[in-house]
Amino acid sequence: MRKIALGLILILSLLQTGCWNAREIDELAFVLSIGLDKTDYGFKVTAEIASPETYSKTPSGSGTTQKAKPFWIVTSTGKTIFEAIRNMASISSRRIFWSHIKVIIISEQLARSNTLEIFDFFSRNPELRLRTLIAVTPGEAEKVLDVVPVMEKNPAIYLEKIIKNKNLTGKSYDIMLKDFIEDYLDPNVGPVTSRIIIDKSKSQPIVKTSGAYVFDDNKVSTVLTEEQTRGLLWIKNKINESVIVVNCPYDDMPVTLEIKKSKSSIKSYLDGEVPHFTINLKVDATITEQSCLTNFNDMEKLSKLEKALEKSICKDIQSTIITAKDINTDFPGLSLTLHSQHRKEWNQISSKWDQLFKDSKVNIAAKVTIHHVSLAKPLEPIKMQK
Amino acid sequence: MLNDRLSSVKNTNEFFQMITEYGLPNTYVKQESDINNIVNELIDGNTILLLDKIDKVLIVGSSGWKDRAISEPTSENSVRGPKDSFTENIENNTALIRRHIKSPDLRIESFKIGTKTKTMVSMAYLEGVAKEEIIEEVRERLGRIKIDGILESGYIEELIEDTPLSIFPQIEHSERPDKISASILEGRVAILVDTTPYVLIVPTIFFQFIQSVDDYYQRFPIGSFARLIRIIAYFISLILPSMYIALTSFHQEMIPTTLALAIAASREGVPFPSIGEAFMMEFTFEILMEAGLRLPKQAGQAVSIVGGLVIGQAAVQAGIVSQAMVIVVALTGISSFSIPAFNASSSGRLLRFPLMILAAALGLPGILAGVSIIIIHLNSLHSFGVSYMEPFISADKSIIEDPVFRNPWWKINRLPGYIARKKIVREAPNMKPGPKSDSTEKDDNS
Repeated sequence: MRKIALGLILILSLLQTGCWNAREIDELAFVLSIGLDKTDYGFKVTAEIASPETYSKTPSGSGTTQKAKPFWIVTSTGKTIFEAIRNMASISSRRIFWSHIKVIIISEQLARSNTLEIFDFFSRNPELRLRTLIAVTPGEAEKVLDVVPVMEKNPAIYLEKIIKNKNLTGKSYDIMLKDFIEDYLDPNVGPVTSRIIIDKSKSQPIVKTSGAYVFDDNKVSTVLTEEQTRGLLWIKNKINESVIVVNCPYDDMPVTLEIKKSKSSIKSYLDGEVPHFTINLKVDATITEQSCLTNFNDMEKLSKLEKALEKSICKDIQSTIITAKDINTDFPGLSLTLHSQHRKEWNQISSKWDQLFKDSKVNIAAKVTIHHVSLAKPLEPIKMQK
Repeated sequence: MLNDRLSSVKNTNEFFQMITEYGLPNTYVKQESDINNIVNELIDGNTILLLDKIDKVLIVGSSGWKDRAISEPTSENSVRGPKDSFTENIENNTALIRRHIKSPDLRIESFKIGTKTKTMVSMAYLEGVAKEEIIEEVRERLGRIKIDGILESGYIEELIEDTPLSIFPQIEHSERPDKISASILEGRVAILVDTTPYVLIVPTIFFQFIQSVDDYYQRFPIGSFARLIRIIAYFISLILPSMYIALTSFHQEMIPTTLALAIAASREGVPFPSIGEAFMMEFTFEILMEAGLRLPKQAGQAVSIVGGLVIGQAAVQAGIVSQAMVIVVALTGISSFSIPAFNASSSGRLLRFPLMILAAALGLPGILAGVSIIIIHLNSLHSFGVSYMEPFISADKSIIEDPVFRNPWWKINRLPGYIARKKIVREAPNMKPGPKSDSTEKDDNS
């Protein structure tokens, strides 16, 4: 009898929790992306909320002829970010739900002033996913979210996909919140974020990714051009499947090479207190298009083309390193390599890193192998055959 | 010949003796003097021959019950395999088993259980293969039963179980002779009960309920794959509704975004919270199942239309339940039917309700607690001395060989050690088939 009573007490006590913190899924507003702007007295937060009706394939109830917009943009202001977000509750009927955010867009104006508060909020909020992508835009973040996407249902998915497409272009960068905060907290390394611009040249404004921004000392300091971004991608070993155009060694016509595999490793050693870095790259590429008439089946000519690609890679990386030294921010992450490879010495010289970085020497050694020339003979114009 | 013997008889006693030995040559005769036994034999359908001036009677075996013809099994269909099933006559059933196992080691011990019904109950086992402890245990438990009537083997099952309060069945039953014969060959004990075609098999392990006879008759890849699907189906029928409740009410961040939006879309305008909706739909499904068991043929069509159209289609379109919930309930129901044993699938179906309550109160930690309790309970069950979760308990090679993946027939050469005596070899080694090697072919030609 006692056992039954005890068992009942246990089970009933479980049910005393009521619904705990249960929320119905249809009373949540799924925020897919947010944009942060600076205003005179605080922050302006723009949230893009997905509207679920458009996700059901069959019309529930009687069919309505009016097509609902798949997303809804909400703006609100406040002295701090969290206050701005809470003020959104006065406009939105549903509880704002952060866990499905895909992209966070920060305006450059806000990023050039103090960003500490933003990232403090992001780190503390348990609902936010650390795999969110971060991007900075030169104009206002609100305008980026307003652009109607052409192919996708909402701007957030569109933005997420074009940022992640950096693989194919090799000219832009992507970073997740978790990696960003890691670099943010390191006093020597500067984090890099993607850069999104609005191209107003056509009748409909389109959103594009191009280049990157470098953060230094909690603020945005520089813009990286596309070549410098590519150099950064080479160093960080994030180039895959992108395409590089080099000039043919015999006549100056362009040849397109696609990078199939690339592996980079950085070796460092200390000469006294001056660090020396060697960046080794091993690259596999294929020829996808050529305009010059050289037949690259000849090993000698092929090796000349490989050298041309090596030169182009070295040029990109050099321009990145020079930029890094100019602004005195180690965004390629060389200090991390030095730290992991020479821990004891690092502990002694880490306070002087700023000066040491300026003096450090970086060598680049790239080794390119081109497979798959693909054609037995390059195509010739018909007249020349006669 | 009888006349010759008659002439040598001197008195009534000798006459009685002569009739016993030579009078009825084709039948079973026995002399009896205890009135209780005589009455029992009469009720059994035998004839009593009384002779004047003799205080003993002759019992002549003449019981012939009207019996149903052997037909297809009603509840355990198989794609390939024999299609006969047991009938209600225990002598018929014994004969069917003896047709499969023609060894003199097959022992059948009979009891009469039930003071008013005096039902004949037999134990069948292979001497030398089945463990002595198990045989002794079964004998002892059957002898312990004191009840007024046994109408079905289910009565015996509940009276000899190890843990009668558990939801999980610890004794298996079957109406197929091939399944019973296979179990006897493995070293199990079969319990046949008169007036019912369902024969009990002890001892039982949990994974037997996932197996079906078809697995052994088809080739082993099909058998193994089918078993894997059934195990997954069991889990689905147990935890899918509770996972749906937990994920959509507490942990929306764990659902992929487009799926979360689709579920939210399907729940637009539905008045009940998802917890209430889930309980409602599951209860409705259980009512439908119960009604389906008792459908008269004429009403069968109407009820299936009612079930499908009304509950599925119209309720969703009226906005009373959401489409996602209907999918969950349908999937759960179908998964619970894919398990061959009804008693085991019922355990899954019954247990999903407490799990749903736990999920509604506590979310995923609730499901975790519930499943942990179920696993702990399963591990503590025994069936006649054998652990319920064998062979994962003794952790020998037979984990790979039986419950999930079935070894091909050329590789099964040992009996499962937890059931039968160890080191009994069933099959000669090197039984793997294949074409003849080249050298022997040459010899044949020359």
